[in-house]
Amino acid sequence: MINLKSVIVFLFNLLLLLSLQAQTESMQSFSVAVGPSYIARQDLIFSPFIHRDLSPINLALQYQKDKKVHQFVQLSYTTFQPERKTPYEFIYDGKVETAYPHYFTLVQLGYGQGRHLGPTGASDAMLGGAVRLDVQALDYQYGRSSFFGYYATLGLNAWYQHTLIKGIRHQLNGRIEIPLVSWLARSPYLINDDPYIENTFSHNGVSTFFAFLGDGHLATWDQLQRADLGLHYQYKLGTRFSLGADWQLRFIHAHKPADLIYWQHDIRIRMGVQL
Amino acid sequence: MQKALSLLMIAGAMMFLPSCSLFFIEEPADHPEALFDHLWTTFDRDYAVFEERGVNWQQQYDHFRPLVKANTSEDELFDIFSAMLLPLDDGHVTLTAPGKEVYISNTIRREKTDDALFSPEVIRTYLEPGFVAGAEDEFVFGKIRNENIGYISFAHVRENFFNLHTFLNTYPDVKGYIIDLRHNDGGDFTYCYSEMGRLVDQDRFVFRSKTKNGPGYNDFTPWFEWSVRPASPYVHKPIVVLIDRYTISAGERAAMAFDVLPNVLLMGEITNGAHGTMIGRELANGWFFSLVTQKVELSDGLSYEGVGIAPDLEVTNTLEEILAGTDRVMERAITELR
Repeated sequence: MINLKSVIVFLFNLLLLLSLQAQTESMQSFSVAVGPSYIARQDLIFSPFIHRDLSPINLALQYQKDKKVHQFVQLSYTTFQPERKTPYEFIYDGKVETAYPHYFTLVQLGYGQGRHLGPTGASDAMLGGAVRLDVQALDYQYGRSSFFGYYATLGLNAWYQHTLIKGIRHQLNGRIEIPLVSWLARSPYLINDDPYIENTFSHNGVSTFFAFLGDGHLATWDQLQRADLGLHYQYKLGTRFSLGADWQLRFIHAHKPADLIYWQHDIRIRMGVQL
Repeated sequence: MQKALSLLMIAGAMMFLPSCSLFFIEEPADHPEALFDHLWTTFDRDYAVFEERGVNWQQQYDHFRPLVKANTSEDELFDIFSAMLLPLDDGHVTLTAPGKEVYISNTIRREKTDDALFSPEVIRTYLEPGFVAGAEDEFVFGKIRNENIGYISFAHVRENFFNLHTFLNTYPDVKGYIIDLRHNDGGDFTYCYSEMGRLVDQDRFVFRSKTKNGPGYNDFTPWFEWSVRPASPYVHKPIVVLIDRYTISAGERAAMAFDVLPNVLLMGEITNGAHGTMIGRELANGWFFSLVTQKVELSDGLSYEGVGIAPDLEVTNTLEEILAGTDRVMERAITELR
């Protein structure tokens, strides 16, 4: 029986092995990217409606190390407040109350490695793998009641990057990433059930998170379809600093325990510094 | 340059993908007939306790669907929905719309039947000065005046149950405890089950439940058993647990848990009878509704959904007594523990 613990141990060993292999003299950089993000999310566990929202602040941090092996660590964070209708007032027990929009918090953490397909510096193509934790904490508001839900994946992904335009100071890369296999955890069919309630028994956020994650299962492409498509432009401002722009499109489809169709657009301005 | 332009056009075209409904499952429409169908179908598919509530849902459709027309107004639709939900008489079934009082299917809660028979102000007169109260009286604990009896009340079941430990530690030498769950409006029963371990000397089975996990009438998860488990140090004293018709949801599950202890006497009135887990849903016009997706059975194999948990000793306040500052239920509990 494959459980979350064995998946984490396997991924940790894999990362350790790969990072040890990649220890050579290298160029390191750090970048911060901010910009608007748009989602359209239809999750039949919670609602038959498509929840759309544009969030002005979408933050992404990236540390990158380049030599023969390209390595990166990425962290991104966004919140959304989709609503069917403008929040309205209603009355409960003679008092006026307000219906709030739903509140989604999205966090993604990734580590990846890749190599040029051909001699470094000469090849336009790069192929690699990444381990990515993707968490969507969902707070659905229904007037006086609110219900917590979640979608989380811990995926072993493959990615391909191609340099589309290359100049002395600027560069445009196209990138696609898809999961090979993922640990997928989602809320139960009708938001909560007894195992869900049992997972909250500790009343500790961290324990509850891992309990929810542990209730997931291994999902292959037939159970979880996901793709990240991106264009990343970078312009060197000098020897150390760079300015860039990212466009990214993410698609997710899962059909158990109920359909989830998810699109996300990110457009970010990126500031980078050579370390 | 041409390459960059092509890429820009492709990216631009892809930006419209998420806003295009083509890639999604069709949403319910926003007109009176579609709203009715959405509400009725959701209950038909997901509501777990029609049988316990004695309601033939198809009959409700046959009666109310013809009343809805394309030009039915929002006010009329709200009234039709409310009338359709009425026979469920379920404290977990609600309907929320802009500018309106939330409709509660349960008559007691909606009409506030005998709501005034419970008075926190009167209860305070029974406590010695120096009692402790949480925000909005989410818990109140202290010692009964001129008696060696501890008293604690819980207005709901959430983090306020963490105060049970403090209460037991503050009054270790009393003759007994009164735990007041009257007007407890529920929350998350796990806070009660995780915190009452000191009152239990062995694993004690409380109830089992199963939740809808598919659209069919009989699509349920397997039964799941809930017990309370011991924690140290064990406290063994006579306990009177007070309940009333407003004790609902997790408040009732708390009452169920206390009821399995041999040293507990349930006193007061029968509880509301709405204790399966509930979920929220939204309609295309922005209204909200809630429904129950779970069946619950006690150790006798029976469901008390729509029935309520009966007290071992039935005692009811009268309005005259409460207005005169007397809480008969409280006084009877004190007498039992004296």
